[in-house]
Amino acid sequence: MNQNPKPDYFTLFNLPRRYALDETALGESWRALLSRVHPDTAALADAAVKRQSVEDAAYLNEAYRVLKDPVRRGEYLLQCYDEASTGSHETLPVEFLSEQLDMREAAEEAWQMGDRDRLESLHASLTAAQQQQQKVLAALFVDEAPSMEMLASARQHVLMLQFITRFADDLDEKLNA
Amino acid sequence: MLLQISEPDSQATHPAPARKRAAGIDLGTTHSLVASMPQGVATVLPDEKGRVLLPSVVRYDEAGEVAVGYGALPWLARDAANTIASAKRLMGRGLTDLGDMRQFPYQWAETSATEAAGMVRLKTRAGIKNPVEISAEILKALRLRAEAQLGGALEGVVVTVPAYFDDAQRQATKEAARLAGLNVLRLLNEPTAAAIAYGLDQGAEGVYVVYDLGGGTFDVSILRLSRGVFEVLATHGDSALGGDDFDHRVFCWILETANLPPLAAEDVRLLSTVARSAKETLSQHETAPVAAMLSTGIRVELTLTAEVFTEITQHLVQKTLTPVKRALRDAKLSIDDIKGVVLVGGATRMPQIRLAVAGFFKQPPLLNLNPDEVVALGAAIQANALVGNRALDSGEDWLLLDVTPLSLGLETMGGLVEKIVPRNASIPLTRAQDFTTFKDGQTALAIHVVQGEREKVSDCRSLARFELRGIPPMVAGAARIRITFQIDADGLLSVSAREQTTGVEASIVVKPSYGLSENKITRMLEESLEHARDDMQARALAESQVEADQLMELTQHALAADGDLLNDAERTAIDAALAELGQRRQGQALNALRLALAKANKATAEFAGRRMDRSVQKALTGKRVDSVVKE
Repeated sequence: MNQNPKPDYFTLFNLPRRYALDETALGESWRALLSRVHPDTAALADAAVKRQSVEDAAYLNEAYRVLKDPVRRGEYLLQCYDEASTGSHETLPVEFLSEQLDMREAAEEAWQMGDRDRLESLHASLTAAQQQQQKVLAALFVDEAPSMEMLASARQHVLMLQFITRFADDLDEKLNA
Repeated sequence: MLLQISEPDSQATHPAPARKRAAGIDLGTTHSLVASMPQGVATVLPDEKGRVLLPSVVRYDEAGEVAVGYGALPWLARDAANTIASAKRLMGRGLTDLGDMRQFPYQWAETSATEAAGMVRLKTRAGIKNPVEISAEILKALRLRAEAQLGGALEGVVVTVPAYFDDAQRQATKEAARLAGLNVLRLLNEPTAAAIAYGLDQGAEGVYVVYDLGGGTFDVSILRLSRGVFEVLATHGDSALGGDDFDHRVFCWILETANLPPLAAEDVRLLSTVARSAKETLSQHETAPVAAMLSTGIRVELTLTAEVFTEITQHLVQKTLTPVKRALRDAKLSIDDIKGVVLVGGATRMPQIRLAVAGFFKQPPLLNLNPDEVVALGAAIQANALVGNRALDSGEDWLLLDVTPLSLGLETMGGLVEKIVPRNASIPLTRAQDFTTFKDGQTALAIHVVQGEREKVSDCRSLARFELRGIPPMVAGAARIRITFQIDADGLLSVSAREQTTGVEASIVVKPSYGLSENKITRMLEESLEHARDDMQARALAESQVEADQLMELTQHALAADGDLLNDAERTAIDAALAELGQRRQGQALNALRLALAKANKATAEFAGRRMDRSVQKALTGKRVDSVVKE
């Protein structure tokens, strides 16, 4: 394994380190960098150079995957500012949890009844909730480093976004089965 | 490293190098071909008689010579055991993978554990041959053809594989090319190759679907083409569905309609050939004659109509649409997002395929390029670029971004799969995940790498097993073992494991272990959806079983160490709860097991509390309180 320090994902793609993301700029930057390090540029090179190009391209692909995904991007930003935050046990507001529980029960019921419309409408409200969480995260992670309070709040909102996204993906699976 | 790379234009100051010889090879199930760009334009290379297609048939003859292509073709029926026509279907496959062996007129040899890792082997008059060696003969013939026409040795080649080929099949293909004396620049997915040829030829922009029905495999890829980037968004397929299956339907129809008795091997071959030519006729005509004289003297004379042909192959056509739907879903796209559908593979000449594709996508498919040649042409364009000839041609730069077709994971406790790499992830890629030890003092970790979409290991394809040894004895859960999957640009996997605190390492380039039948692989995805519910049940059961094992082991351990904390009645209650748990653990009833687990947990709760108190007492002895708090 290459032990060289790797640049952080935002620096790598020349993007500001904040939650709000210019997806087009990310995609263009990813493709531009990949076109320089992709193993296709090293087809006739020796084994060491080939290996390096596979590693570099893999690193770029991983960085792209993380930043492109709203949940992973949030987790990554938390990591950037607070290494210890990964795996910490956050508590979530009771209102949020009980609302989630209600929705899950409603979804289970709709699924049993074969009520597709109800599932679709639940899915739509989850999508709205995802966007809401992303808006909050965009306000918390701006260019300068967040305060301790903001970080604590961000941790909660990332967790909520994980909750909602997981649920939305489950529903999506059911709707497409 | 990433930020230290040279700017692309720094190379422009060097004098332009001379054109290098490069070629693209489409190694197909029924026929193969080679293409190159000798004058900067991609072109297929014909043999000395002007024929472009080389039948993928190899014969070992009485004189000890090897005949490839048209020279071997006439012997298919007469010398079946020594004339091999479907080596691609056997690549990277063990005997148990192939299902019904009677479909092959070969004599199988014992597989060898050491040679070619359990791949099937055939007895021929030239000795025992494996599919890699047989495919190498085809590749060698194409190499000689290319060298003769290009005037010298090849710098390198790009060889295409079905996008849905798994790791074992890819490894086997690369090995065959090496055996044929070729320098493999890249393994390229067939639909991606077709997209390059089509996209560069037509200047296409937007989202395109490549529908590739070959002789023995079906692939579908969805690509976004934009400003010189070919980005594969999703790929799906069936590695055991192709034009041959349509031939086989016709063959079965002949048997039924003519009411024939069981046939000799040569008659099977004869009728297979007749069936194929009837299929080909129906691409141009409404009816096809079916006539043959069997070795038994029986004369077959029938007429196959397009209508009947469509009817008997309808389920095969439908079968191709399932992967199409899955790929669309994985790419998060709908039919309206698709700008065009490119047809690849000779089997897409069948009118019912074209109709089905047009009906599904609500637009006629694109037919600008010869479906037999487009893959080899794309491979030639890519090979030309990889050897550095692109600077010589005025053509623009482009970039190819492909994905891995099947999910990859590891076996965890209870026979469950922990997915490490999801299907349709961009390659090359590296993914790491941390694991730990299950038992106190455990010094080795068995690592089982699997490929597939299902939750249980037994339903996925086993790719490799290896062991990480020399882990220093630690308490359960203390070791940090990082397992890293790396997939290179050819889609080939390597896996490494490293214990983080000590640096003990083990790694493997995945060699297949042939655990699962070929047909199962292609069913895996369908089943993973159909059985989502079963899987959840199975997972819950397996998890509860693991939990039960852990609880029983822990409690036994605790009883041995601190049994003196209990009076007789308490001890009896715990023993009874454990006995019941042990019994339920053996069964399949999830709720009964869960109940027993809850009971055992309850019965041992007080005991656990007392043990905790005792260990706190022990820990505090001889330590000041503040030092304990700090820790």
